[in-house]
This record gives sequence, C-alpha cells and structure tokens, in this order.
Amino acid sequence: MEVKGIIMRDKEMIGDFGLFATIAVAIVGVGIFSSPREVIDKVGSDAWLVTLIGGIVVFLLLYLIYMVMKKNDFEDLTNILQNNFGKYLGGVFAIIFAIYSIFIVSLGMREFVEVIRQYLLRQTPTEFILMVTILTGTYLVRGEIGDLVKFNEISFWIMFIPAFAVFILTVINADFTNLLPVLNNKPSDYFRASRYILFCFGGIEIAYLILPYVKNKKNSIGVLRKSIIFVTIFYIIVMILILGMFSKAQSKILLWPTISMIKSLDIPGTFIERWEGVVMAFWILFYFTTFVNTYFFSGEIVKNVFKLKDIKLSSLLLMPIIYVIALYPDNIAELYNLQFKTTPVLLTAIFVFALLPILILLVSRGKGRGKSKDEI
Amino acid sequence: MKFKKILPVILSCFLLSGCWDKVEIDRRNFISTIAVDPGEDIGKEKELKSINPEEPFAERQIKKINVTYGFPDMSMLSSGKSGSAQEKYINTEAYSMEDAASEAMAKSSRNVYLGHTKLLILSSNLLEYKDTVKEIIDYLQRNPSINRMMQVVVSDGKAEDYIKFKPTTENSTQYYISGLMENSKKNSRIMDINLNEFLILLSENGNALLPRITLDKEKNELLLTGAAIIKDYELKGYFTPLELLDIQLLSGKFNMGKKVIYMEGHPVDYIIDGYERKVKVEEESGKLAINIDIKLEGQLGGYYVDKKALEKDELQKLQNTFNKSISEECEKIMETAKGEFEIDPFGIREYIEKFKPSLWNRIEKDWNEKYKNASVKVTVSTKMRRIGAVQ
Amino acid sequence: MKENIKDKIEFEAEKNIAYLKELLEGNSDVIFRTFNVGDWKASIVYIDGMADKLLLDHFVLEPLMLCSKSIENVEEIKNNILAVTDMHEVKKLSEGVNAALSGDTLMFIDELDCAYVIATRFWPARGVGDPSGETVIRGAREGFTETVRFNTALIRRRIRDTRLRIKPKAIGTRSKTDVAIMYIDDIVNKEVLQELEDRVDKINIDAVFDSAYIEQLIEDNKYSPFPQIQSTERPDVVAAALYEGRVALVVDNSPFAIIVPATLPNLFQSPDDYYQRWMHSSVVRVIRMLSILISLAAPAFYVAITSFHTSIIPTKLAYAIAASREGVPFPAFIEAIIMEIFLALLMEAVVRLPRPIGATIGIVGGLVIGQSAVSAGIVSPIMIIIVAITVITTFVTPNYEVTTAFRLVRFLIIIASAIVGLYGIVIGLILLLIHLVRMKSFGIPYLAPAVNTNIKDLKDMYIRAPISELKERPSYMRPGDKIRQK
Repeated sequence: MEVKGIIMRDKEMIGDFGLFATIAVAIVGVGIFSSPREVIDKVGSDAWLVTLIGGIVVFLLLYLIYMVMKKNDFEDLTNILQNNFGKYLGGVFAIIFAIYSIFIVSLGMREFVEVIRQYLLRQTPTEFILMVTILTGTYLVRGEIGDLVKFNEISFWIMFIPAFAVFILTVINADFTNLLPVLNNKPSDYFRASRYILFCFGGIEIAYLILPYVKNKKNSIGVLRKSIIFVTIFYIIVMILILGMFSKAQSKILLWPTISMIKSLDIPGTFIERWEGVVMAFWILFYFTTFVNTYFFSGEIVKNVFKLKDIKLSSLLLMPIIYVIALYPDNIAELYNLQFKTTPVLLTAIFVFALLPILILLVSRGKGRGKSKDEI
Repeated sequence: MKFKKILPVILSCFLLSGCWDKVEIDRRNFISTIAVDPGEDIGKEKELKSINPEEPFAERQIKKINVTYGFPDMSMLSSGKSGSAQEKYINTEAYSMEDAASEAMAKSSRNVYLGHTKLLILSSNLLEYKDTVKEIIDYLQRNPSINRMMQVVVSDGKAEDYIKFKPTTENSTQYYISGLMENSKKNSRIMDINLNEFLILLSENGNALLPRITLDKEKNELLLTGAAIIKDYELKGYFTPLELLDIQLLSGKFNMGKKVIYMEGHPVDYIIDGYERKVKVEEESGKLAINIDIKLEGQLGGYYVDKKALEKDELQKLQNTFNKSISEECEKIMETAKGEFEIDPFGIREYIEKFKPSLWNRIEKDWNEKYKNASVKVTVSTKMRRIGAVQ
Repeated sequence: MKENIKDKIEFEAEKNIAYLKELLEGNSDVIFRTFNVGDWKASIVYIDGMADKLLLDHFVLEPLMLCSKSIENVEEIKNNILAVTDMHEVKKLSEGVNAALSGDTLMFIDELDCAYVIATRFWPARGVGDPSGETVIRGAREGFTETVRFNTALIRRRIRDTRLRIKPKAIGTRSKTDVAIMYIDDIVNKEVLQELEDRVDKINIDAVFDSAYIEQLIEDNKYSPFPQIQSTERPDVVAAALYEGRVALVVDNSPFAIIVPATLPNLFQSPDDYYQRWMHSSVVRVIRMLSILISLAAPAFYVAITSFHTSIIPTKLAYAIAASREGVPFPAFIEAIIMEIFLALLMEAVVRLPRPIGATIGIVGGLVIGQSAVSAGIVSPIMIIIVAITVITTFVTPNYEVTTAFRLVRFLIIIASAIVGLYGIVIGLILLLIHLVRMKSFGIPYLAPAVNTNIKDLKDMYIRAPISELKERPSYMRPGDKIRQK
C-alpha cells in the first residue's frame, strides 16, 4: 500500500519547471525546420514580426485552455467534454481531438524521417526508421505522466543549451542588414504567412493533459506565459538568423533553411568540421519530444473515452495507426499539401483550438456545477 | 510482458537484413576537386529540345559535359602515414552532373564520395553555354551532401589541365589553390568565394564574380588572376587583380591590400589595413546619384631613401595624391561595371532595397536602366597612420 | 524446513542441558559446563571459537563459584555476583539457543524458568583498514569490517545524536544474520523507512551471505542494469546519507553497508567532492558528467563516423583514418565489438589473479597485445585510442556497479550505431534516458534532482556550491527536518 501512496503523490506533483519544460519541448518540434521557407517567401524580412504575432495569438489560445481548465476545476479533458456535452457527444469531440493530434504528429513523423533519410541515412528503408521511432515512443508512453514530465525536463536542457550555442556561433557569420526593410508588405501577405507560423506552435494542447496534475495551479498561468514567451523568442531568433545567413532570395528556394544554415557553420580547428550530422542528432530529440507528448495525450484520451484500464492498451492501438498515416503520403509534395492545404485539416484545427474551448466555456457557464469526480 | 518478448524478435529480423548505409571508410574515394569542361556534344542543344519527354531510353550517350574528379590516392598511404598523397583523377563524359557522378562510380574501385570536396573548377569555355550552366547550378543547389563551403573558381581554358597540374610546393592542386585563397585575406587582389555565397548571389539575379585561375605552361605556374564576371549565368568578361582590388574597396569586402602612386618617378607604397565604406543613393531629377564614401587607414610601405616622410606637409601631400588617384580609379571601375557589363557587385541594389524601401518600390521595374545611367561619385580619404621604422 | 526448538525452559538446569546436547549433537565446538552455585546447580553453553573464554572464566565462573557460599536467593546471582555488564534474561529457549549460536553464553540455573544470556561475543576479526574501493585523497581511511557492532560503532561516532536509531533484525531463516537498520528519527523520510521494513520483512531466504543478497532482494527493478541501492565501505558515506534522511542497513559478515534509497546522482558522488574545495569539486563533477557521455558513446561514435557519416570530421582526419584502416580486415563495427569483449575479459582476469601477477598481466595484455595487434594489421591504431579513452572515462565514475551497467549499455549502443549510424546512437541514448526516467528507488525518482527540479537542489548536483551555501538538505529525499545549516 505504501508503494502506491508514494506513486500517487508523484502523479499530482508536477512542479513549475516541469510544466514549463513540457510546454516548451512539446511545441518546439519539426515545424521550425520547414516553415521559415514559407513565411519568408510571403513576407520576406518581416518573418520575425509574423512570428511575434503568432506567439501572441498562441498565448491567447493557451489562455483559453487555462480558462477552460479553471472553470472545470482542472479535470481531465475527456471528463470536461463529457460533463459539458453529455457522454456521447463529449466522447465524439474527444476522439476528434485525438485523431487530429495523431494525424498531425504522424505527418510530422514522416517529414522528420524524410529529413533523416536525406541527410543522415540515405539508404535505410523508411519503414525501419518509422518502426524504431514509434517503438521508442511507445516505451515511454507505457509509463505514467510523471515519467513523461521528467523526460521533458531533462530533454529541455539537452535541446536548448546546444541550440543556443549554435545560435551564438551563427551570429558571427550573419548579416543583420538582411532584416531590412521593415513592413514593406501587403497585409494579406502577413495573413497568409501566419497560417504557416501557427503550424509551428502546434503542441499547446498538451496543456490539457498536464494542467490537472500541476502542483501549483494558481501559478500555472504565469508559467504558461513564460513558456510561450520562451518559445516565441526561440523561433524569432531562428528566423532572424536564417534571414541573416541567407538573404530573402535564397531562403525562398531552400527547402529546409534551418538545416542549411547549420551546415554553413564553420568553426576552424575543432574536431568536428561540419556540424550538420551532430546537429541532426539533436534535432531528433526536438521531434521526439513533440511526438511522444502528443502520443501520450492521444493515448490518454482514447483510454478515457473507451474506459480502458491502462494507457498501455491504447498505445498499442495507436501504434499501427501512426505507422499507416506516416506512410500514406507518396512524396514530400503531397506531405506538405496534407499538412497545410487541405481544408478538412484546417477546419479541424480551428475547431479544436479555438471553437471547442469557447464552446466549453459557454456551456460551463450555463450548466453551473454539474461535474463528477474522477478517482485517480 | 508479452510485448517485451516479441520486441527482440522483430528487431532481429531487421538486424539480419543488414545495415543499409554502411560504407567502410577505406572503401571510400574522397573526391577533393571537381572540374567541369564542355563536352563534344555541347553545341547540340537544338537536338535535345526535340526529344519527346515520354520517349523511353532517354539516357543516351550525349556527351554534354566533361567532368574530371580529382582525389588523393589512398592506396599509397599505409598505416602510420597520413595526409599527403599523390593526386589521381577520373575523367568522365556525361549529359549532366548527376550522370557524371554515376559514370565515375563505374570507373572507380571505391565508393565515390563527394562530402569532402573542397574545390570546384568551372572552365571558361563552359560558361559560354548558359543552359548547361543553369543545369549545373541546379545540381549544386539541390544535392544535399555537397560541401557548401567548397571554393569555386573559373579556369582559363580546359579545367582538366588544372587538375593534372602538379604544383611545386604542395601535393595537389586543391591544397595549392586553397592555400592561395587563404592569402587573400592579406592581399585583396584575390577574392575567395565559397559555393554557398556563389549560389546566393546567383539566385538573386544571376550575377556573380568568381576568382579566375590561369596556368602558365612555360613557367609551370598556376596563378590567381583577378575575377571572372558572370552575368545572367554567362561569362561576360574579366577584371584584372588591380581592378578587383578596387571592386573590393567599393563593395565593402576589402581586407588588406596595397596601393601605389608615383611621386617624382619613385613608387610610393601604401599598405591599407583599416577600412570603412559608406554608401548613399539619392534620386535627383529622375536619375540616381550614387555616392560612395571610403575611409582608409594604413601605413607607408616604401618610399625613397632620400625623402623624409616626417616633413611637415609631406604626408599630407601623399595622402591627397592617394585620395585623388584612388577615387578616380574607383569611379572608372564603377562606370565600366555598370556601363559595359551591367552588373552590380557593389551592393548598391541591396542598399536601396534595405535602407530606402520606398525608393526601391518606385524604381524596381526600371532598375537596370536607372542603374546604367546613374551618376557616380567616389570620395576617398586616406590616412597614413604609421610610416614604418625610419623617418 | 523450519527449525524445531522448544521454547520452554525447565526448572532444572540439567534437563535443559540434556535437551541441548541432543539438539546440537555431533558438534565438537559446542561446550557444556555444569557447576554449582551455592546450593543450586548451574550450567552454561557456549561455542568454542565464538565466545570469549577469558571473560567467562574470570567474570562469570570465578565469581559464581567462589562467592556463591553466601547466596540465599537465586535472584541475587544476577544482581550481586555476575560481574558482567551485558547480560539479559530470556524466557524462550529458542532465543537463548540463537544467542548461543551467535557467540553469547547461555546460562541455566535451577529453580529459574528463564535463562541468562551473557554477551561474550569474540571471534577473529579483521582490523579496521583502508576501504578497498573508495579511496579518497583527503578524508578518513576507515573502512567497515565484517562485524556489525564494530561497523555501527564507526557510524555512531559520527552521529552522536540521541535521535539516531539502530534497529536490529535477523534475516535469513538458517543464517539468522544480524542486520542493523540505521536512521535518524527526525530527519528520515518515514515512508521510505516503512517501505524498507516491509520489504525486509518479506525476505524468506535461508541464508544471507553479504549485504548484496539483501540488496538484490529488496530492490525495485531487478531487470535494470543499474543499481538502485548504494553500497559502501566507508562510514563517513553512511553517516552523510543518514543526515540526508536516508536509511542504512549494516549486515553482519559484510564490510559493505547498503543505503536506501539511492538515486543515480548519488551513485556518482565521491566523498572527495566534499572534502576538497568547491571550485575543484565543481570542475571534477562537470568532468565526470562529460566522461559518462564519452564512455557511453565513444566507440559507437567512431563506428558511426567511419562507416556512415564521414562528412562530419575534418578532411585531413578522414584521410588519416582511411589510411590507417588500409588493410585492416574487419569492418569498424566488428573491431569495436572485439575490443569490447577483449577488455571485458582482461578486466575479469585481472581481478581473479593473485596480486603480483595481476599488475603484470594488465600491462602485458594491454600494451603488448594491443601493439602487436596493430602491427599485425588486425586492429587499426585509432581503435586502440578509442578503447583507451573509453576505459579511462569509465573508471572516472566512483561506483563499480554503475561501471558494469555502462559497459552493457555501451555494447548495445555500438550495435545500434552499426545499424543506423548516428541515428542509432541517439535513439539508444533516448531509450537509456527513458529507462532511467521511469525508474524509482523506494519511491524517489531515480534521476532526482535532475527531474522534478527544485532550483535549490541544483547547487549540489552539477556543481558543488561552497559548504556555507548548502543550507538545506536535498528536498527530493523529502526529509523530516529540512534545515542543515543556518
């Protein structure tokens, strides 16, 4: 009995840093490698400005999530949905959420594997890399939320300290006059670019998963704000450096400007002459954290909706789904199409991120206090 | 628990099927230099246009380009020695760069590896064929494993000869040329450009300046002689090293160098080590007025034994003379560049785009015309801070 | 089979002795002595070789036999005649027999329904010497011996607090090994203590030879290569652990005490970290962390670079490696595996050999065989360098069990890197990280304080802040009393 007592306490005690690290690490993922091209293509040297606006918008969305949580006493998402919309409709909404998250993360995995194949492993079959990555993720997902947050905390340091080291090294070679001119674009360009930048910020839904278990709930909005600020600043720095290294013209052509920027690093006299291999290794971690957090989140939803005993079962269900979706696009052009241009995907995104929380808030206000307790 | 037992079985299946990307390092052929020449069939562009895209067996023996790959001979090295070996080469004829690479693999006992290539030589003959050049540039941009820090030069004549050349101080051409380029930091008569910068310049407007190398067959020397002007993917002309120095001055990429004037028959050397450049562009009555302000700092290199540089107005006189001489040279160069060649290696366009966006929006459409007819004024102010060890 | 000792103590001493003679028949070292004390008959039982005969002769038998004339009452024997400090009564015969088998002397007196157990434990024991593994530059050179009481004394000298508790337990149905559970009452984490006692009580093995048995029977996860319980030969390490709120077990016949719970950062600390000044210690800690990474990944990185991603290294180095591998028959991966196996064999062999030969074999094996292998062209010289780096960085970690764990992990990472190069190394390291993150030791996360981070704890983890700054006990251990220094 005592052992369970200790374990249960861990489940409720996610500290401030845990929350901060989880949000930061779940958001920063594959997007930052491909989006700069699209954004710079549309708005040129104002890319950093669009990023800033994106950050503000995302913070508002996150605030929405926080309000939903607060109104519903920080319960589990599935419970909130089912309390407010009834068992069946709430379940449907939850499943939509899960499916959307899995879809996006599987496509992200495909993109990730494509980049790995191109730069690191030219001949290894995609299926193999996919399998290995999914299995590694499953190993973590079979634990508890506490394990996931601990993993995030350590990954945070491993990811961002070398990232900032790379930034410092790139700054030496960058030409910051490339950031001019400012505000030399049509407003519609800004609007079109924002679609791509918002994709980079995907992953905020992880807050639904984590907030119920946070130790210091009153502080959590402050921590959320800090983590969004951190991520936004990180992205802005990346945009600025890309513009500084390549001008607008070159950035439009490069498929993955971030990687090309790192390839152009030249630090004379070190053991490693060209860094892209090593940096790719770090980048694996960037993607992996996003993947595993979203995977866990979807697994939780599936478990709660179908009242399965354990997340182990739901993760086994999700594994083949991720694999199949990742293999679905035939090539990279189709992949980008699916991610950005198909209307159902866009509509679902808007629904999930914006409409659903607002709906919940409206319904909660109407319903009053009709919640049920969840025994953990 | 069952999961843990199935897992090793699944993984061992993959293990047994082999490690796909593994190539042992001693099976690799490290290509250090690529030289591209035009092939026999390069004039047959019309014939190529008549090929139906859906026709089978499109890969025919069209020898559009002649590519030579130079590499150090690894079998000469044995355990214990390192670094320097004799250079060998593989010569292939193909219809594209990608094809050339696969031809080379067929001719080499080892795995051709382009990840450590340091030098790309483009023949001046090749640069007369715009379409082929564009194809080559696309290959260089698209290939992810090519070393973007490799240096690019234009060769006078056949590039193949340059790979076969055996310099006296180094083992291979590539070392020799990169050594020369290193010196460019001390002597701005040479510019060095790497593939990354080259591609960026080209992607903006198809214009670039590439260093040029010439082979002196009698004296068996390989020299860097100025720069080749690429406009719109074609070779238009050359700049001599002296002109190149001025261009570096004007474009803001100057490092160190020297200038000379003749006073009373004696050459006066001025070694420049400090440098600042300011650009101003205004529009006056429909024409662009470009003003470049250059500030130089340096020391007196060589004068004449009987003359004393410390005398009162002596230095001032020297400085004024330098001012006039350098600014006239620069203005001439600018006129040539924009009038004759219609290129802008000075960064004027970038300046306008960045710092005067409203002006740029107005003249963007007529940029070429405006640029050609712009008036140019270069003001130089030199300072001789030091005069060496004697008076 | 359960031991069958009756519990009743007869009123007649001789009857008890008769029973015991039958119970312990066939033993030449069990000594019985019957004698008269005044009007009563008395008898003693003890084990020759484990009991202090001198004490018995002078302070038990002598006063009993010589001064017994004046005794009127049996009770007086205990209070007035027996000139020994440590003795107590037992009402159950089985307890008395166990005490006798542990070296005490069992005494029966007529008309008493209890027996006296006199503490006479005395056996040949090793003196307090240097701890064999954990040497420090500055600090005590005392190491535990195989006697529980001596060990607890060494610890108690460092904790002269009334709140120190030394609770006895006997573990092992046949060996009945004495175990002392030590903790400081108001600092210890009560949940951990309770959990430990529960697990210890569940042990149902017949013999415990070393604290290692207990360690392996109570640990959280036996399928992990990493130890979750710390074992040490140094009393100052145990005392420091107790001050942090942890619990120690001192086991008879074992010079290794075990400390519970143990986190991975605990296993990477050496007492030297605290005895040297803080700047030096901080640098040493940072070096230790780097060396862990190098020791895990170095051979795998070599395999990945030479077989998969040659573009990463500078060109001249690539040429050098390629040249040195000319003529080597095995691919890099096989070379790495061969060297790993050879190293493991060498290390095992050196431990078993008698001391003078051991050192020589180390040199012969390492230098001569390695050099010859290179000259013969079987192994490339760069591999030798990599192996040497790996070995040196592995032994920077102070704890031997962790070293063996790393060896295993390193092997797996080499295999992973042979299949998919750098990606394999990263996935291997991620899997290792996940495994460590999921582990708990008695409810404390295995990677604390790197996880569930509390800024205050970081002062003692990656670096070592000056002692004047270490004002509180580590919070991840959730101790009772939090303040250490004011």
